[in-house]
Amino acid sequence: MGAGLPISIMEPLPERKQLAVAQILKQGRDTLTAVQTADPSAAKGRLREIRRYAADHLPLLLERLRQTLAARYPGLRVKFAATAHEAVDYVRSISRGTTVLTNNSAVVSRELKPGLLAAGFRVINSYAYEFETKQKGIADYWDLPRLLDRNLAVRFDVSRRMAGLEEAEVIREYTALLGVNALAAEDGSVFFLQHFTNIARDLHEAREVVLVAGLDKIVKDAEDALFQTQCMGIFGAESMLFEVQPGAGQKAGEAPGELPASPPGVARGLHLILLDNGRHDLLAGKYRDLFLCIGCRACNQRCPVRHSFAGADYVWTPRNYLKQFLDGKSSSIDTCLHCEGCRLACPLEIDLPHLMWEAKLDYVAKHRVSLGHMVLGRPELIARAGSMAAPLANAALRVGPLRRVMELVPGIHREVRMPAFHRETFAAWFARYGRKGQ
Amino acid sequence: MRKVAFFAGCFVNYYEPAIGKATFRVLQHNGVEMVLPRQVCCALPMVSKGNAKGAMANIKENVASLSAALEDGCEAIVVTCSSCSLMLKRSYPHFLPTDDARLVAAKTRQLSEYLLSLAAAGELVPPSSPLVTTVFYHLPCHLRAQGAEVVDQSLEFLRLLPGLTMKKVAGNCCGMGGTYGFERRNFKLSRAIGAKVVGDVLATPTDRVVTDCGLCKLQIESGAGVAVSHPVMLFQEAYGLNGSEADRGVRG
Repeated sequence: MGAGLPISIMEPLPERKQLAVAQILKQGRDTLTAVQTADPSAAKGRLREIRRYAADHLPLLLERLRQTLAARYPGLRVKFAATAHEAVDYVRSISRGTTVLTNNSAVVSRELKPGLLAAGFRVINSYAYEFETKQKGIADYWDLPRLLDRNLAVRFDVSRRMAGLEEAEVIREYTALLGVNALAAEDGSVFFLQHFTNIARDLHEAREVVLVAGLDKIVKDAEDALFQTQCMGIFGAESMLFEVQPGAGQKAGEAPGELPASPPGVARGLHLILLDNGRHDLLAGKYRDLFLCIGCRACNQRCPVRHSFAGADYVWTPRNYLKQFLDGKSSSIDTCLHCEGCRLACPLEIDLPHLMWEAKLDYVAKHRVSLGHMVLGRPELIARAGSMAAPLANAALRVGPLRRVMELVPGIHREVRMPAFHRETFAAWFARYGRKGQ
Repeated sequence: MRKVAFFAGCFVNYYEPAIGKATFRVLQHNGVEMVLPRQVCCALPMVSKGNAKGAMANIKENVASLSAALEDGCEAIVVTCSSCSLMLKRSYPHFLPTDDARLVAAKTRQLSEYLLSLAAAGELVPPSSPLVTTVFYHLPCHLRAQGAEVVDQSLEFLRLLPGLTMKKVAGNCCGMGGTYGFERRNFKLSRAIGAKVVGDVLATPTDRVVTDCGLCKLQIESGAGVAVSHPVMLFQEAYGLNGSEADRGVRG
């Protein structure tokens, strides 16, 4: 049972929630003002240090963690999985007959899901399940308008500490696969951020509990792990709402609560998968900064196209959109419109806009660019030609036939209002008048 | 005498020379000499559409020419387009990590930033008469991306005009994203994103709608059916400088 492995669940502090809800009830939701706020810049600074350390010392942290786990928790079954495939094989080997598996909305869940489905598992997202079945409770819990914009930082703290799996009255026949938020190399302690009750329930009821830590989740010590998990809540709180909108694509499927109880006396299993799946490679290349990401989803807050990151099963953020593309799982990086909102919102200042561009340029270097982008990627050529033929070009752009051709060839929508060319460019005007000082 | 280099960008050069002319007149009115170094497209649209070769050529050409202008005594590179200024400031050193590119980045100023620095030095000529007008200001994403200070300055800049009342500052993305919104496959999405800004413009009647970005301007104009002008046009008018009716951008 992996005796004693410290597992902590963090949640928003209840008094903060109550305070905010009381204020809404008393004064109406539009009047909600600052309750309190931690200094986000101080938090960002510390988080950056934690993440840089994790990125710069991965081999050291991994070795330390392995030694700690072997020495302190000999009963814990630890699997190092180089690929998602290896992780899935391990899950299959320990599931002993049950093909029902629940997971949370962590990035690793998305990585492992296709393999689990192919291996014959029924995969239930217990997070989405709770959303669909407990609308009222969740509304009370989360329906705080624009938390961060209103300077209302919800504080997160540890609500529950466990040492290994607890004794359970009813054990149910399923495997719970839980992506962790942070894992401390020094003492092996594991941290989860919980918004609903799914993590606690899975830890309590599932016959096999598989904790999955991407290598990027390993930090130095328990203090750092706690802080990183807290930041996940502080910076990501509002973005959670985007993902749990009804009809946003989650398919919870079967309720874990309705699963059959295990026979009396059955032993529960606690496992820890350390998942690489490209993380070492990520550190070695130019997309290294993606390793710094804690998965808080703050990048979603301002993203104007977040609903268009297609296939919204699990968590779709600009970051995950890019990662999906880099992993060869999607063929387009053109949904992003480069407003740079993600970079501004990221507590780690990951330069997603430049990384998206790098990805686009890398892709174009290997494949052909579309005809539309070939034209739009040469704006001055078009502008020069248009200016030379200015009155005629402007008139032609207003009529149907040319616009239909433009829609077919470079793919410019026929209803778009095009800017009008000027026969005399600014440079030409300046050459005539500017130097004389009109 | 102060001297600056103007980076016009494609929008001003080919589509709205009036903004460049107004910039020249406003700078001249403040005793600042403006030069126009040899220049090509800032390369932002080229990078975003995957034209790496063309983009690098343009970045190198602009860096060579603009850094030479700085060496030649220009104290800043002044830009009126918020996407060009973001590109020069942020992406030039990223794609071309040279000292010259870093120098160009460090010396690039959005026009509002530059004129406010004159105001801070007590050198900005105050407008002779108040410009009594109400304004809806749309903050372009690429100006916000330049940092909170630049955002503050772009608002402060307009508030330098006596008589001007800022009725609304809107910061939602307009959805145009350069030529993103031109593309057939993005058109509906682009319009849907822009609906918030367009709705705000329609719900907040003002004498003028003002923004620094030419593409935001296009999106708002075609969605809300009102003329949108660049901040510098208001300065030109407040100074009583030459500018045609069409340049002034009073809501029709």
